[in-house]
Amino acid sequence: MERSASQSTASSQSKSWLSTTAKETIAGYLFAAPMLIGLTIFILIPMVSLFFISLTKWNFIQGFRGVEMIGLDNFRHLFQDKSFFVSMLNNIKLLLAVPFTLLFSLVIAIVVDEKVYFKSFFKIIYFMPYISSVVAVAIVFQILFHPSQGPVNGFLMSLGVTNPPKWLADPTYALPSIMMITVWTSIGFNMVVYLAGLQSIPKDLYEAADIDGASSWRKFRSITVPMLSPTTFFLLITGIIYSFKTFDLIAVLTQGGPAKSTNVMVYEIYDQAFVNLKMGYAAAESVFLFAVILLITGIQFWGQKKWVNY
Amino acid sequence: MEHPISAPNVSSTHRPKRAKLSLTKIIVTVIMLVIGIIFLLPFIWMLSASFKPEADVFKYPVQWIPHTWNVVENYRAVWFGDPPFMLYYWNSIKVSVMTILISVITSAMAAYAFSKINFRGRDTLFIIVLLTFMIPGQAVLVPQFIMYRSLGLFDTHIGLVLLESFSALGTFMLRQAFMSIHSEFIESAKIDGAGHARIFAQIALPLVQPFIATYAILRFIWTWNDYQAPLIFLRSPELFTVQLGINRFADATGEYYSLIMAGTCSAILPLLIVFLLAQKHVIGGIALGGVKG
Amino acid sequence: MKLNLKWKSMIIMSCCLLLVLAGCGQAKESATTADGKTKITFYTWYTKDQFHWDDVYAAWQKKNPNIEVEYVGLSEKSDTDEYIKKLDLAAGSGDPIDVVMVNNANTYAQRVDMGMFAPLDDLIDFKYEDEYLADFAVDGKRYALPGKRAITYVLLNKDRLDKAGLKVPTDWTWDEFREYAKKLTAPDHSYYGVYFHTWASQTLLELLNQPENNSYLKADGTSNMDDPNFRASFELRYQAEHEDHSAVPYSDAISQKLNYRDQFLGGSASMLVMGSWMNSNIAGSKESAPDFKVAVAPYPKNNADTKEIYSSNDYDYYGIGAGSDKQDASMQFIRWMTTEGIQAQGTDISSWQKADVSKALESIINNGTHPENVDLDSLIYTFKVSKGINKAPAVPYLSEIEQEVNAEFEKYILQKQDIDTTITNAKAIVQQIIDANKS
Repeated sequence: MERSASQSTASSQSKSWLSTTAKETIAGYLFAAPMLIGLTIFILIPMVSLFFISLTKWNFIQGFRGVEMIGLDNFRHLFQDKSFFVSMLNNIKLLLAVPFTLLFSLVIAIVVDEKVYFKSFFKIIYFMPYISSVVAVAIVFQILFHPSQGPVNGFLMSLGVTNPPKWLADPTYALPSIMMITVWTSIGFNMVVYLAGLQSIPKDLYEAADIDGASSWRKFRSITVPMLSPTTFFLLITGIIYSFKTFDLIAVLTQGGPAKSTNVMVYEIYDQAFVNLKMGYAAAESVFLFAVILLITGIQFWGQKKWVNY
Repeated sequence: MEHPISAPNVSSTHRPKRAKLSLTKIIVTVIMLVIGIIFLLPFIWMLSASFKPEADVFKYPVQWIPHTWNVVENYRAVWFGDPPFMLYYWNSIKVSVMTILISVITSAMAAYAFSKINFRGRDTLFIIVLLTFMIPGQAVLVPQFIMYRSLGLFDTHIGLVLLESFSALGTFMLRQAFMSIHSEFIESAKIDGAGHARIFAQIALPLVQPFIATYAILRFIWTWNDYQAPLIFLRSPELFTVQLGINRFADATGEYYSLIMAGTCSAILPLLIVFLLAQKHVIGGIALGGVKG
Repeated sequence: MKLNLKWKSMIIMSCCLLLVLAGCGQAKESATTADGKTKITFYTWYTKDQFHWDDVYAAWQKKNPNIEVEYVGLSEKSDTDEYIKKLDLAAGSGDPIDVVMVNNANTYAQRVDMGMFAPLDDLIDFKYEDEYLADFAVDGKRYALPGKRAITYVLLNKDRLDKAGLKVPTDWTWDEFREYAKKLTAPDHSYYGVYFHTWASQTLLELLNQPENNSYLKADGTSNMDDPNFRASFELRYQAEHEDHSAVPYSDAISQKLNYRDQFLGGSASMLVMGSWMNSNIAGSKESAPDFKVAVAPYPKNNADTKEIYSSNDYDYYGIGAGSDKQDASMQFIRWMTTEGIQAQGTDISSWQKADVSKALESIINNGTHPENVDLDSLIYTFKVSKGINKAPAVPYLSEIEQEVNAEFEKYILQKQDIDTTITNAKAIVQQIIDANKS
């Protein structure tokens, strides 16, 4: 249906009493409404209440009667809490796993996508760690990492390593062990998302490059990486945020130990809330954690203009 | 910023190299296979543990192939034994399917709005949405729980579904996907007089099929494997999901790991099957998108 | 907006699906008060099976047919951590809690402080000191009655004792204990002399036999960390593991989450220092039974010239919810439960002064699958001579202290830090926590 330019403008100006912007706004809100409403009720409101709770000393066993306003006292205590800052340090160490995961996942995704036989088979293999429940993963790695009798140290000892690390029982190696397990589990997720991203790259770009005689490396650098940048951006953000949210594995496997070497911020929060029953303080810690994540994510979003193309 | 390669030189001929068996490909396949087996080691242990009698599960050195086989007894104890595993399985299926439905629909619609509709307050709203992703579940547990009790959503399946269905992550992921659709498609449709509903349904959605499929798979996995939320928000045993069920193979003296592993292996099956089926979509879905129209 | 047919129908179908499934997913509402009878809720972590609820309830109904009890077991695995978390959430959202159990002094103290329990003094119409062996008063008010009682004793693998030519100890010190452990360790370490569990109480071995000042804090709330017994307790653990090589390594215990019952009953360790809830385990149950004879010895003393044998007692606490409007009925139930109810259960010893301990022990052992494996005389003797220590009233921040000191202990036993640094750090941290909680 062809219309001349002047005709379209005329109709939109005179026929409808809604301007294009208003129409767009209504459409936008209508589309986003279901998700926004659900999000607000089930997550946003509890989140906002958390901000209020952080200003209180809340005995939550007593329900709402147990609320006592104490202003910023919780935050004052927070900045003197050695244990909390150690846990924050642990989280920062954990972040190291994210770039590694992205790199491995990208390589595996590319290899599986084009460079092997039995593609589907490999997709499944590398995805499987992601679909296992945390409890099962914890039990299995307990076995594998057994200091004296497990296969990992058995293998290391057969290579001649006389005193292999005690992994989960060693305050120096416990966090690296957790990191290794996290990388192993997350590769599946990242690989699948990268695969979807790879699929979206129009094939004719590669064909054009082939015709021009471009090498594999050139193709990778100039087509794959830029076209994947929205995906990489997404995975980087989610990877970092998930890293800060690490809890389940630690709760089942090490409970923050040994000697608090795997104590991460969420575990601290959980401890304060449910073991020490200091809900107000736990809320303050949550607010702090939220601020940290917000800051890091904000920096990433600001930086995306530099390297992400849409 | 890198620029894509310029337009092809049409006159040169182009021979595809894919026909014959490639040595590189074979070598790479073998390497990947070896790494793959190392990757799978934990699962091999899990499977093998589910085949053993309880006493053998933690014997060292690890018996990768069981010396004594207890397969039938273990799996029978899990599926037909005391805790009603089949009921838990069904509960998990119910909750997961409902969650996927709500979650995919709401996230896709919202993602489309955040990427392709230009409306007032859009970017601020999106940031707020992202913000909800940055708070760990453990922190909001208590306010959520109290809210649930007062709304009457505690100890219901629908409550559990609603808890997990509104995902900032899904919206974020699909927004990235929508954003990578070239605006020409949208523009040409707009010129043709299509409203957003039609663009969404007939153009945008099909173009991001791989991502929808991917997100649906992921949602299924997260919901299916969730242990904490059902633990806190369900109390009646007849509503329990499969993850709670697996952990019931225990008593005061400790857990029965052979049964827990048998339960876990049984629980992984649907995830595997769904992934197998849906990943074809992930591969093949792009037929529409790459063609310039 | 024109939605095409395909989308319209999909949306409609999903909504219908939701409604239907939502209807299916509703849990049934439990009935409220039955006619003429009072109904009270009973919150506990035990499964009905473990609690022998059918037997107990039948006995209860005989005596009190007008009070119905609704059993609310909050953990399918009898996991007390899970239970406490769910209990706190239930209390916080206003669930009607009438009778509520907790399982240790820390948990009790925290929740008394937070107002979860109703004071019982007005409901107590009997002379407390004549009825119960333990008093849980906090600031002069009582909030719970003691349920089952467990003393701490030492279990020994009698077959191995005999093989090593050792007698069942009736009165011994920790030094002698170490000697026993060395002799009861296999030369190839296929089994160890003793297994110490990962609980904090197993790091305070030379403190928990002191009638007073047996914890991190003194009765007046000040730090007790200068007590030489702390250092002695830590060193005992270190020496048993790293010098004698007679204790299962701590690194194994934490990385493998070893189960103390399995360690002893399965033969991996010849001795176990544990609470007497093990009674039903050593007599054998359908899940597991030891294939050796078990003897019982009292808790070791620190030096030979101490006259009395003291050990730490653990109790179940039966309280009434602060918001309960059925306090009289609840009191009747917990009064009955802590006296006759526990006897009806047949699995544990009560804290009731009028209970016949020897008879109860005998009946518990005879309820097992292999009662002949237990040296009953040594068990009865141990119960007779063991006196309970006086524990300082637990303060709400005791768990925090326990955690932090334990973290230092872990560094020591995992050989990352020497004993002096450990004790210094522990002292400093305890003082810090005390100061922080002074407000």
